[in-house]
Amino acid sequence: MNRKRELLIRAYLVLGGLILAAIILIASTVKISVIEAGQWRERGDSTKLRFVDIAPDRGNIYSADGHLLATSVPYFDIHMDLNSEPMSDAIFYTHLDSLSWYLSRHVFTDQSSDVIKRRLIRQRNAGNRYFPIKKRATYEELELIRSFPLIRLGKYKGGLVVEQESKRLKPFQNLGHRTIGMHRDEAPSVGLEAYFDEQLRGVAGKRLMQKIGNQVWVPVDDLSEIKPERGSDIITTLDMRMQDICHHALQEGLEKHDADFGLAIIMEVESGAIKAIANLDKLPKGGWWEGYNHAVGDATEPGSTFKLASMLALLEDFGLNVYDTIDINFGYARFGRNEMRDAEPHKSSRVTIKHAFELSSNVGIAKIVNQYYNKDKNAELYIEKLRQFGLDKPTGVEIPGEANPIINEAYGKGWSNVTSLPWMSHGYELKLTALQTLAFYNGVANNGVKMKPYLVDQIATQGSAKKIKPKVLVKQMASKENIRIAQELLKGVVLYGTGKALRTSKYDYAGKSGTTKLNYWKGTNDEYQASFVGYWPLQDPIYSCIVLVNKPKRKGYYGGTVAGRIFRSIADQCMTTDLRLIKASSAEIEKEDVQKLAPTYQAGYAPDLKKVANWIPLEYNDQAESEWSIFIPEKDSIKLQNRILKPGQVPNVLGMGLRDALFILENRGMEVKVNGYGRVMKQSIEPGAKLNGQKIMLFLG
Amino acid sequence: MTSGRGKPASRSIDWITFSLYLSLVFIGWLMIFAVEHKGDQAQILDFSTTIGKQTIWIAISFVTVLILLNIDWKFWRNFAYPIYLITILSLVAVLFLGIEVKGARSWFSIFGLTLQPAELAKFSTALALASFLSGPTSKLKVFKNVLIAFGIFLLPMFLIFLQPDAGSALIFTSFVILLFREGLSPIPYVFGAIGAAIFVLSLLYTPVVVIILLTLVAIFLLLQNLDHLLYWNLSLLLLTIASIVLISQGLAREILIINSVLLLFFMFFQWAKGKMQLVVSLLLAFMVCVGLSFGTDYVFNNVLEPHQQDRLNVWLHPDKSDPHGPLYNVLLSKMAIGSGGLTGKGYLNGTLTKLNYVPEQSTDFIFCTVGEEQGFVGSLAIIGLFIFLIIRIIDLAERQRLNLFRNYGYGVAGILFLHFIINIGMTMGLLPIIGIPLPFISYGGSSLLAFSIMIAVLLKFDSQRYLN
Repeated sequence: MNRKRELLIRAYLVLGGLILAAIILIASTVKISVIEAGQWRERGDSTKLRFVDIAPDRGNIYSADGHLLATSVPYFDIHMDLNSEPMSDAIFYTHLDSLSWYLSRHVFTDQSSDVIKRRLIRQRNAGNRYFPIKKRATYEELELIRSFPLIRLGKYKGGLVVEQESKRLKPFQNLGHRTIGMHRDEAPSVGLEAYFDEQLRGVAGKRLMQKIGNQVWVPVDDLSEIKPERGSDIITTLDMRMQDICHHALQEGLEKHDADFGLAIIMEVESGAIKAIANLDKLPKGGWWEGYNHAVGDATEPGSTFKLASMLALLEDFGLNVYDTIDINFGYARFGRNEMRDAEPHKSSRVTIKHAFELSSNVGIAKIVNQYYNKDKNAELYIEKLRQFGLDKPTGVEIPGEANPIINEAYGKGWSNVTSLPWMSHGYELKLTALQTLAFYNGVANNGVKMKPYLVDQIATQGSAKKIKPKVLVKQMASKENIRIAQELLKGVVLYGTGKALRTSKYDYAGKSGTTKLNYWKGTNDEYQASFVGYWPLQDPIYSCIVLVNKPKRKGYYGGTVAGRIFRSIADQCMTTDLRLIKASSAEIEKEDVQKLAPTYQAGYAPDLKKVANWIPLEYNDQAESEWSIFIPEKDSIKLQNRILKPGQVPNVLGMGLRDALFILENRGMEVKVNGYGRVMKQSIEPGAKLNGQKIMLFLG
Repeated sequence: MTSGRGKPASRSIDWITFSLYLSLVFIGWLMIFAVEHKGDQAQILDFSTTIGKQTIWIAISFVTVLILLNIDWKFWRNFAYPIYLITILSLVAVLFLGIEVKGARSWFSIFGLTLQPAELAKFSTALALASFLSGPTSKLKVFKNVLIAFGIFLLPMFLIFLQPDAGSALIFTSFVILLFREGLSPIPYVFGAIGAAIFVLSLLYTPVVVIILLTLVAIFLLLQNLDHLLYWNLSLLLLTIASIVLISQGLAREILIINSVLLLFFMFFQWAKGKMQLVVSLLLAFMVCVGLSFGTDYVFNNVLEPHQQDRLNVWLHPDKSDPHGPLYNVLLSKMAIGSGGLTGKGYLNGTLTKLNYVPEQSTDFIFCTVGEEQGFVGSLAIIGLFIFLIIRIIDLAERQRLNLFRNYGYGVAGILFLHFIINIGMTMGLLPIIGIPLPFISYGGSSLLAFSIMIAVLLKFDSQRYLN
């Protein structure tokens, strides 16, 4: 009996648990479907609800040396919900006057505060829940508006509605503009922005929006929002210092020769990393603008720079001896009924093949190529070699719209047995982009290993970076020996040929000029495209570079003089700024020069200053023992002495770089605003004042 | 004696249970139709659609029920273990031969129809466990039998956990209800409840807060043999209030130290009074609970998968959880239910549930559709039908003479109960999201078939209740 009773109790306990659970469920149903029904119904009314994508922040693009090339800056559309539930009449009318005054003073500056006040009242009474305050406000403006009476009560009581959007900024503006590219909706995107759009874009979030009026949607304020994921950052191979050098050297050259457009590319020999790429178009009203990526998108007849490929082919196929002689006939020849002339007349007739190349004799190169390949009708061998050098394929650089090279089939359609080979041999009847030509020369400089030109070094996603490795396009374009001979040929151009005038005693370089006659088939006006492609320093080249100038109209048109001069200007400036290049330079750095340039009143982190001084090397009187120090000029020496920063006082950051100044000030709890660039010339709060987390303004210069 | 043969099975089955079963299946079919119905001609007989497939499965289930009602009940008694064994083998086999859907190997694919052995395992485990427990005397007084009983349902549970399908595995814990009814000591249940409470509280707050709570409980227990008990208890109440206030001020650490010192003081006091046993056992229990609380933290951070962490966070910390995924589902689910209001938007007039905002709309979240289209009244009706059905099953179980029948009835009631409470609880945000279907209503052939078999066998057993 007892056991039966126990079992009965157990059964009732089970039933009791069941009923308890049922009561909880029913209570919850009552809560959701009856008590909160109105609220859920309003939110759940699908005709008044929709999901909109929230655009994620687009990733940044950086240069290799850490500069920001493209970034997104937020801006805000600010509205007020004049009928938000917690905004009672009492709250609204208490703040109305002051709010109207602030709005009139800072936002609607053309309206009096009375007018604004009347508008606010009218709109509130009309049930407006989306009263526009300011469109496209900056963050500072948003902060200001957020501080206004009423609005500063926040989202609920204050009725503040903020929608964030963003616009793209390029801090370097025109520098590398076309390569960095643009992301646009109205036209096809270009450049890296287009190529890496997927990575930069990020993942859109979702937000539930509610319709509160005629075509007016506001975000429903609850948890039903999926945050967007920020896009990856792209770290390019571009070096903004070199980009700057390229850009300005090119611009100077183009102006001097009044050209239509021009381009310059610097590539790192070993890796194929593109360090700089400048494309400048003349604007109709004057000035220069990166309007099109000619370096990647234009395939043109390369002209004489192509002769190197012809020579390399001859070396590979026939073991050509470049010291054999050839008759260049003062730069004139006939192939069938077609005449060929060298760009410059020559004094001599019989020269070595090497010298014919150095003089850039069209006739010379055409004759040998014709002699070796046309005799037994084996032009396909020649074409095969060009393919072996990878000249028939695009480089695959990360810019959309790279033009394909055009190299005709031997004896194919449009092939002339008489003229095709001679003209191809010096860079006509075929098309290459400047970058493709440069990649070939870079391969020669790199001892035959042709690297893929590339622009992006890393893709960084929230802390983890994916490094992109350099890629080999052609393992070995030609035998090591033949590559060495090709390098000798290029060296000869600078020593004895078309580049002779541009020699310098400070460092050695190699290269080849090109002067392409444009529209020669029309035979009307003489228009040229001058180019120069080469690499430096001669021993163990570090950089290769191509310069191309389209339609120079003044002061010459030869590749050697027009483009070569720009090339030299670029190389010269690079030599003095790159440590590896300075080591390769034959010029000694004069000790006096250093002392002349010595830094004075430069303050900063002592170990850094010492490191720089020792590297230059700079002689100074070291009296610095503290963490921070400053260079002080004395009669005929320089002293490094302590910069003392007392605790509890506003520190003296004059003479420091921004990095050091920020570190010191922010560590002391100050809020820093900055104006200008350079070193700190002035600080808004005098050193020695008592510290209490003030705002300080730094003026750099 | 066994006059089932030749006699129509329907004559003596429990029509109330059978009607409840039929109505739930029919409502389920209507609801799936409503979810799939997009305004155009719905293809009830197009077997590639969800509703078409469900129609086939309902037909298969009905035929199965008819067949089972005509099988002699002794078949189940005699073959309970072989059926269980086959089920276990199929659960092993599915780990290797099953097709992978959403990362879990839970399904066999046969002629285009997919079968989930885990669903059928619920039935065969109920049968096997009922059979094992159905000796003339309660077996659960012997510890070995308790172990075997647990083993019977933990084995399939473990295999299902490997698929992995944590939701279905969880359902097997419902057999503790049966074991309780059959006389298992209540002490493990009390411990289980305390453990669960510590687990949830540790996640909801922090282990430190839970330990402060435990010190207060321990002090309370140590006070009970003192003079002037009322004053002591009032003081403790004040201490409790002070603790809560100070914790909310971020002074949890300090309060913990103070309470621990007090606890130690009372322990020494009782020890001095000669109550060594009380002090030692209390200290041990206290240590175990503290360990459990920290263990919860560890398990949460190191053992649970990220998606499982998410689900617990959505449940306990909706404000802190990532709005991706689970939280989103709960919110939209509540929105759908709530927007139905008192009487709903009307059949086929639900809008939110048609926009596919909530994933698994026709399976795990089918209850939203009821809430949106039939409103509070509809939701209440569904809950009522389930409660009625489960109580009826317990009622049937209690009136059986054979232990096998009663045990089986409790097993089925437990399974249905857990399904029902978890599924509806999660759609309303009361419980974490655990992907299990609402019996008879959710779309899914295996689930419907398994529940139909359970009900059919139950009805068959009940129709034989006058046997001796």
